[in-house]
Amino acid sequence: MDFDLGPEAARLRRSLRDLVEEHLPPGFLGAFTDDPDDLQVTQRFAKLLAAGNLLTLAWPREFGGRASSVWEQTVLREEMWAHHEPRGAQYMGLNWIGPAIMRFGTPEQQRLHLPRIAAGEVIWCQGFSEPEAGSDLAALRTTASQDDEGWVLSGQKVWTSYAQIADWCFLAARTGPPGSRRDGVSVFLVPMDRDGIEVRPIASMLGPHHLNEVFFDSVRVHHDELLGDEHAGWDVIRESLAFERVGIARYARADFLLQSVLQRIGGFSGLPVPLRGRYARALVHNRVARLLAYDVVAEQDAGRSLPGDAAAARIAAVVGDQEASDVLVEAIGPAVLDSGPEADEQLHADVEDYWRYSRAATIAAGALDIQRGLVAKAVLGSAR
Amino acid sequence: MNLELPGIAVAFADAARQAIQAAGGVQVARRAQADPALRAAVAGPLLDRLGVDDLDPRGGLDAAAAAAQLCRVAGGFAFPYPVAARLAAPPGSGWRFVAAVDTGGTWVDHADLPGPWLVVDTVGAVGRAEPLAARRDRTLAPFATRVTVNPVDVSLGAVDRALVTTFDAFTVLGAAEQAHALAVDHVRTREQFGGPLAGLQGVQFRVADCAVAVWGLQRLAHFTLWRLFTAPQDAVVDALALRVSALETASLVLSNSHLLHGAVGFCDEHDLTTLDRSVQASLRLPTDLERTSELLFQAIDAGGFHGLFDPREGAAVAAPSSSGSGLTGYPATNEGGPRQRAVAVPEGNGGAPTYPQRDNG
Repeated sequence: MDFDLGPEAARLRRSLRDLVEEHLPPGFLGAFTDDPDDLQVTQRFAKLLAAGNLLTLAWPREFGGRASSVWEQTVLREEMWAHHEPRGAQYMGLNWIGPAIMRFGTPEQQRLHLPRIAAGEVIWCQGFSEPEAGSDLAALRTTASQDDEGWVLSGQKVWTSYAQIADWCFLAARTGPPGSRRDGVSVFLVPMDRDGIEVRPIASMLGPHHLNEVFFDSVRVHHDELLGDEHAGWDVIRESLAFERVGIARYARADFLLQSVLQRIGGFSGLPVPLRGRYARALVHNRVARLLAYDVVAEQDAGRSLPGDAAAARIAAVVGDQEASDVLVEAIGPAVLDSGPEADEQLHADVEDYWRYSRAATIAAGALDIQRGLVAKAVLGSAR
Repeated sequence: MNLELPGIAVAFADAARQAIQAAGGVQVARRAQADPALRAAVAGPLLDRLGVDDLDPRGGLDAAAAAAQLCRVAGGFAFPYPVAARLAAPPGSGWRFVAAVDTGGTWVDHADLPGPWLVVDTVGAVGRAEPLAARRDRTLAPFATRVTVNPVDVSLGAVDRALVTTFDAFTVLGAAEQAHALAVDHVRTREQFGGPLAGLQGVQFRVADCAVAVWGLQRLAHFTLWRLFTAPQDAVVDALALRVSALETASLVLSNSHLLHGAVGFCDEHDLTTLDRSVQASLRLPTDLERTSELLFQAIDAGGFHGLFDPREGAAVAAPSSSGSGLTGYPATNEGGPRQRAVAVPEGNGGAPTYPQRDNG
């Protein structure tokens, strides 16, 4: 029994913190703010990581990766999320779209996409949710009709993060008859500059780029842009979501802010008395969330991908995220409202940003109750 | 990174489980509540046969894991014996049991059993506990006993104190796991509204929330045990964090298990009742959730909390230290690690690393 991530992981963590300190501007809150320079910062940072072969640590060498351990990849995820994801939108391609193409893609698709993802040169969006298919993803209605030249896409996606800036879309569409649910879904790799695609941004409390509508009006898709087999897209989606559920190391930002704020206010004596126990418990819950995530990583590394475990880790992480954000906001008090670019205290802006993000944590990558259903299925089995 | 339990711990737990099952399982607890003498007559000798006196949890992580697993198994059967306190007693020290009390605390589970009992409070002060009065029948914590504590000229190191708390948390883990397993079994088989209860989404969500809590506590318990041997300077704060998690998990699981069972879960003949009644001692003694949380934040204030962004220099990125650095800030007199046999030495014995002997005075 040994919970040490190993010396390579420790060295990597130091290197990443050095890069963050050197290359991220003070007050950086991620790519998706009202300041367009922040997006440029992340594009530069991603290429910097790629130049050091740090973007695709866990990818096999044949796909441009470094074949590093999953624990080094875990460290990368932790350090990036803790520091407001300076890879910008790149994490999506790296963490699950790339691996899905490795697993299900043709050699041609792998040659086309994987080197560009590995180089940090391409932004992907994920076309899953629709107006009538949110948590019930199998109800999706966007159709892909086959003809001699390939496929024709028609329909609408919604809540699509990064669609305005994305080069490609990892798109789920119905290729089977209406009502075919999971058995009639296929996944396509669609360039976002294709005729017939229109993106409309949706203003939100999360900031720009997080939410968009994407309309597909008879969009032409070629045969070689189908990922995996026709009608077999649900397998691709399920595997992708399993990666996503453990892909974001939410506990890392919670840990960073819980420790930072505690230091700033001079320890627990700087907190209102009723908040002290809650704050301490938030630290404990965050530790548990990290350990559950490590358990899933270990299982995946051993070739065992258990949906119940991934969902449990996700539940612990997102519930812990919201708990941490609540106690942090209460620790700062009304001053947290004085945030934004002109905030007196950078830490207040960090916490305000974190609180807004954490509101969405129980929705992204499968709503909390969907995750609870997955855990229940794993525990209760066929009697469910 | 290796998250697997040591094989020796798994084997020891299997042997303990078989022995307790052969003795009657949870029925032993029910019988002992009717006849408390069975604890000394049956439960104690069963542990003797398992060889617990040969198990020194300070000797290494494998032995500590085996001891912790025994506590976990015992918790799952509401085994009527202070297993954690027995395992926390340093072999050869002369003390039969080591238990924790709150500052000024006067209750210890099973303290009517022949000791001697060494107790340690939340600031590290130790004393010898003597039962005050005859045990009285009660519904909850049936073996909790009032004690009087007399100071003794010995002290316990941070790791020894942490072992007491950690083993008790493993006992609570075992009880929570079993209560959850009972609920899962019940909702899978109990049919209402034309199908198993497990088909109802509200039931599924309760089961899922309990499963996540139990799985999380399992991981934290193992992590804490490992940290005792790799970062002994943080032993007390880590053990308190584990206790917080154990108390929260048990509360969630027991309340949900009762709700899912309905009235049958409250019957004395049902295992859930026996588990719930017995584990109350561990949930209230030495400290309940709020008091434990208070101790935890005091310990964090004094020495920090290990994590990815631990502000202590170097702690954030370095592998855990294998030697104590006195960072916990607790007033314990010995911060040595488990391998160093952390029970402090009374004045005047030449500093020899021996355990304090029984206080016969």
